[in-house]
Amino acid sequence: MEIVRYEFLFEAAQPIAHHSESFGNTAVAMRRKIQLEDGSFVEIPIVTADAMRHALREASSFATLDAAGVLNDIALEEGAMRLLFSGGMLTGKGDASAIKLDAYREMIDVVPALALFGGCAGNRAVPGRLNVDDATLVCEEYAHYLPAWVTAHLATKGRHLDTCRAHIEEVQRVRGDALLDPGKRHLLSPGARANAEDRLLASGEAHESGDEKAAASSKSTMMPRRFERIVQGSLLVWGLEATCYTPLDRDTLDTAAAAFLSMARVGGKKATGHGLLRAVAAQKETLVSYTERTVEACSISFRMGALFRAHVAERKDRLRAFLSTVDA
Amino acid sequence: MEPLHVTARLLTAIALPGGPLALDALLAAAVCRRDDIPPPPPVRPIEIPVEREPGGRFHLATFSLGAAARYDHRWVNRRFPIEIAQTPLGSLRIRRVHISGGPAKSYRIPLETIHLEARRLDWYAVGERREIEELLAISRYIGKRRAVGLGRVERWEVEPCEPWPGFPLVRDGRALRPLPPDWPGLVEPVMEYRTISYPYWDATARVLCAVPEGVC
Repeated sequence: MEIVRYEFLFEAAQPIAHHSESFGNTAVAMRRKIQLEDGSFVEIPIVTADAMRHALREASSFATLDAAGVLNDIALEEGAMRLLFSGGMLTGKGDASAIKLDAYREMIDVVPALALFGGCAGNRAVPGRLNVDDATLVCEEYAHYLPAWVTAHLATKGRHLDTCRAHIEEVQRVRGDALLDPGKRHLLSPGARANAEDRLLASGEAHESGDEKAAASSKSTMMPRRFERIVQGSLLVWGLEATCYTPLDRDTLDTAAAAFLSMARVGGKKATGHGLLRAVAAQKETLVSYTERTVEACSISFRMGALFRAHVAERKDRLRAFLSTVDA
Repeated sequence: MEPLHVTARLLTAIALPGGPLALDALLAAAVCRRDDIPPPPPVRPIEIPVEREPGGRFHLATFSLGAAARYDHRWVNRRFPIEIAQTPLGSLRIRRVHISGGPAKSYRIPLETIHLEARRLDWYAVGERREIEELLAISRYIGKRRAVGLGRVERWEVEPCEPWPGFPLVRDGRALRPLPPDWPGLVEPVMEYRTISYPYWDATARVLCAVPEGVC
């Protein structure tokens, strides 16, 4: 057995819009409390470990289907979809008094990533062996929690830390109302165009007369909304570690990391230029026992594991059969 | 075997919805991880390097002793991967997904987390120091929701310590782990039905015990 820990330093190649909740029409960035050296608490921006772990799970599931050569010709049922992309669920089907270890072994044999990520199928929960940390903003408040290698890396690059507040910006976007554009109103049917123009007239009159009720009922559908985001160029530190028993476990972990890092996107608003992360440095720690541990700077260009690909490709038909029948 | 003081220095908040953490359970879980023992129920007894009480019912190890400096909360979310089901990867037989009930139900459950005073938890035990260190070295996250970074341990410290009368299970008349009500040294103990040894999730093994107080 060995515990493999990877730590990454990410740069936000795009702003990151990862929100916890919204007040009115303003979405606030996800934060968590940390304790400062003087004992006081502050909240600093993060990308939650749940989001990072989910992104890893998704990447590793795509890598599994790709390695089996079925990515383009498989149609997953609901249970398989849940198992691969959400970790499945206990369906309550099956005899709960009997734990089928052979079924468990079969499952992690055809989908090796399940051994690391865990999941639920039938009457049992498969515990995972992968612990993922929050991706945390590298800022002044977090300085005393930074791994030593990250501090050294920042010093080498001459990068100074700023407060977490400096790394957050608030921006506004507006969903337009197409009916306010005269050119687009010409695309309407005559009846719809007349209705739209009547509404615009009514809106103007209501505002002039101060009739709030009429103004509300005739207002445009234009919707401004504001949101906080982590600014582009900010750094985030992130760690993950897995308990590995076999070379296949290690290769599966590397494959998941490689698949995720190849296009690491987190948070919301991905379709509008948000969420892209770029790994700029990494470190690997391997712990075999209390006294045996190695730490090394590691390449950020992970490769898809040859062992993982061969293992999954060899079980292509069993994987297809498993996914077509799994109850998760 | 010697009297030991065990300390976990934590880097993050910790989730302890079930109350304080049992050192013997942590060590048993570490043995399972080390030996790749499949998930419960265990197929063989799990032995740990901690002395048992004379009757052999449980180990001479306390539950965690810590204090909360601040509480926080987070949410445990799950949703069906609708965006992927809409791609060609999803079977055309998936025509409707119920997200308000049934197997694809979405949820958002609150979870309380605790920031500890001095970011530490302590335990006392009578055991083999080296073996305990070996096992704790692989216990890198403790408490609930370890998979998403809660309860990350920066380092473990296992040091010999001076025992006190009643060491390690009773201090100042208070139980430091679930104990039989007639355990010597207890003074007006708080009584509850608890499992007296690991696995502590086994509710069928609950008996009336004198229990420790506190949330962490």
